[in-house]
Amino acid sequence: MSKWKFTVEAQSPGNPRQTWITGFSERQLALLLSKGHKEKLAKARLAEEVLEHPESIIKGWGRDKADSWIYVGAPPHDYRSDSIETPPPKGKRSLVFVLPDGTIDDWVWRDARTDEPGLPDGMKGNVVWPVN
Amino acid sequence: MASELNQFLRDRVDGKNLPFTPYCDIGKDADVLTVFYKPDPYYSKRLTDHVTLYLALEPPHGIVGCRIKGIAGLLLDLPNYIAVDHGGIKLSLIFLSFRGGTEDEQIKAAFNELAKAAGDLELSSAA
Repeated sequence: MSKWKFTVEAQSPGNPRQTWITGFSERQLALLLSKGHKEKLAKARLAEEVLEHPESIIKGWGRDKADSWIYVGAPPHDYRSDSIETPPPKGKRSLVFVLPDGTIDDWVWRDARTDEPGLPDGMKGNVVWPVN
Repeated sequence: MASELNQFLRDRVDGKNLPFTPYCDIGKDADVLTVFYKPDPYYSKRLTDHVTLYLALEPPHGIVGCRIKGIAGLLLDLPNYIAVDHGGIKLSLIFLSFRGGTEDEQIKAAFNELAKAAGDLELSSAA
């Protein structure tokens, strides 16, 4: 049985014309439901959008999970709860953390860098897409 | 066409009365501890190499939760330093262990706030 409840065809880190399969784990969605974390559940929609249409993709970040991927996006809206769209927070980027096996581990807003607004503040790792 | 995720959220979440409960959760695959105290909309801000804060999007940007990387090693070491009752570890002790390693007053204050908000939450409640 798959460990993922839902899959997302994310843009391939190495080739924007290709996709690879990522997924939300059954365990994490069950946890969020059981704890009533509607805000985080609503933002899973945002994660799906960023994975399909990222602004950039970063490899590595965590000290021990250097092979993780971070998808960075600038979606034109936010979801604060339920499916009601609101404007995105100013000066922020939407980040989606993906483990090497494709499991979507976290999704969150973070401040954008002031010198390079397309990238998140405090970034560690290497931008693998777009290639300069 | 709505994705399966969207359909799931429409069926199980949108418009439903789902009371929020503070929680902590250990993600073994990612080796992280995730903590949420409040259901408020939030953004993330790195506090240290190991700890990321989740702060409210609305001013005054209070702490909503946090995420700690590399938690497995810490949990292995903790029983060497403290007595663990009933298999549970007070979440506030995790923050104490990080607080001791910094001289930065702002970081200390953040750990103090995290520990205060932790209250009686225990890691044993993590699934």
